[in-house]
Amino acid sequence: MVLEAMSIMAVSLTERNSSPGYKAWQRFKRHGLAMLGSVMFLIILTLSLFAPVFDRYEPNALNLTDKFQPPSMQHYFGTDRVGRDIWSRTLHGGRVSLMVGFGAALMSITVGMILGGLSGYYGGWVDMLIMRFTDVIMIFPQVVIILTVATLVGQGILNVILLIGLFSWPGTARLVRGQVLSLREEPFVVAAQSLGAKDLVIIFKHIMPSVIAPLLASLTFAINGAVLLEAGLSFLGVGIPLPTASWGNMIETARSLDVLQDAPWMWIPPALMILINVLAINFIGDGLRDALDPKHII
Amino acid sequence: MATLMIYALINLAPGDPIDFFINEDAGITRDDLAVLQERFGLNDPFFLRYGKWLGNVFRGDLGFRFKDGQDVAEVLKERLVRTMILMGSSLFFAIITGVVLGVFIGVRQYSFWDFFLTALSFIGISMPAFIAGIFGLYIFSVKLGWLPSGGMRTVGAPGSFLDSLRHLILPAGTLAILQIATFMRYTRFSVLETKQADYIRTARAKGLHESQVIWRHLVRNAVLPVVTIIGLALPTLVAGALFTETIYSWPGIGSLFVDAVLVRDYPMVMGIMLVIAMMVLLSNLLTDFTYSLVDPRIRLE
Repeated sequence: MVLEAMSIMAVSLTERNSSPGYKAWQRFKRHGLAMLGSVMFLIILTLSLFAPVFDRYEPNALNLTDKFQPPSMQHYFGTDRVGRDIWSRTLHGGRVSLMVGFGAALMSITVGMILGGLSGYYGGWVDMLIMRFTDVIMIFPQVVIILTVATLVGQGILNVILLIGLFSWPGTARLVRGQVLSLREEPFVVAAQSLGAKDLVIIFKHIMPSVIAPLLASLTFAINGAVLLEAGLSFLGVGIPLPTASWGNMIETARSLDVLQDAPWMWIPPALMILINVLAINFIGDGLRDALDPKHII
Repeated sequence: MATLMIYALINLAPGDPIDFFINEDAGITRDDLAVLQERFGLNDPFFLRYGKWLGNVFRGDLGFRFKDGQDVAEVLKERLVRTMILMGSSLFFAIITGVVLGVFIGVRQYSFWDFFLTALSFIGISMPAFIAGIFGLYIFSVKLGWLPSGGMRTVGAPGSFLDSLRHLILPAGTLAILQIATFMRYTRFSVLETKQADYIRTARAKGLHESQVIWRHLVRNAVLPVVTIIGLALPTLVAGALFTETIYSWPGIGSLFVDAVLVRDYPMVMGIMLVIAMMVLLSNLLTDFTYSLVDPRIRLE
């Protein structure tokens, strides 16, 4: 074990390509759970992205003669109340759920990066204003505030993405702000300033690349948060409207007792998909965090 | 301390959410008679309305529900108690279980139990309340029939403590899953970290029995920091209560909030958001306080 580790270290020392990104990748590869998570996530992603290849029925097609069917060879996961194929809907629902996850996460990270960057770099009243705003948003648990606004703006995929994106950035903003604060006085920033670079160029071109590493890990957790929020909203009936399938609104069917009791095939597949997906991304996030931490010892 | 108070005050006036509720108030009655708008002062400038509302809030008057005209404050009081019962018992259970298991696997790093429980805790932190709730309902209520599916007591039967307890188990357990996992992971980490401390080596070096080292020196010091994350559990508890109460029809503020939001009962929604904000602020304050209590080096300003 020790010998092996030493030989790996020796190899990596002689390695020609020893950029930070490469080293991080090396560490990531050796993180067992992270690799497991990646494989799990890739499977889910493939199934969702290529849903039209794997599905056997139109996900929204009604088929009243085959309604409420338990799983069979015709319908792997059975059918729902109006005869829609659950297997197809789970795949297509994954598309919607993952799209919301990625879209909202990217948006919240972007907003958080901009606000955190401005706040940390300028300090003073800009910082004060942005951080007070952040505090106010952070008082309420996300679900509470998003649920409230969701009923005002109405349902829809785009609305859900926008809402989650717009109310999930405070954590990122604080993270970026802290990083920028500590980097602000670094020689390379002072050098850029003395060369007369514009503030925005300094923030986003010179400082941000150093903040990317912790952001990458928080991006994975943001994706998870968004997937869960979408599912939660849809579960309460204010997220993705039917007939479009999402994992959340498929689980929502379990809120009526007859489905919960007599048709577990209707809600177990999407529930398991969410669980596996969140678990996988958590593993990846943990691995990324360990791999990207420069102080991390192999 | 003073900065904390000011911070609390600034945030206690959530100008942001109230904004659009009050605007929306006007929106709702748009089709109604303008007379009605005038009477309720809905045409007043925004800040005036906001000021009036805030003044009322300070006098404990939260207005009346759109739905049935009940007094918001009255309903809230009644519901809040029930939510407190749910959250309190859930948190209590989670702390005990999480800390005990965390210590248990912390002193046995890399053992079978460590891997097993760490794996479980991964699932625990990945399990949203509504999925845990649905599975709990399906397994323990529908399939096994051990526990009631919802409500606070059996309808028609004389209420008894045992009956209430049976109704509490599923929702509280569901709500506790995430917290147990969190507390366990944190405790385990804390134990592992404390193991490296110099005073543990000293205790061993002076020839103390291993059990004494663990119980008197290790566990005591390792468990103390856990106190500080209790306050952080509150926002997730509130979010979880939303789903748990809805699934198990527990008549607390979580299910009330979902109902109120869906029927756009704004006075009720505002009232609940106010209560939630106060709860979160209070827990933040408590967290800061416990930090300084546990670690006297951290001073409140």
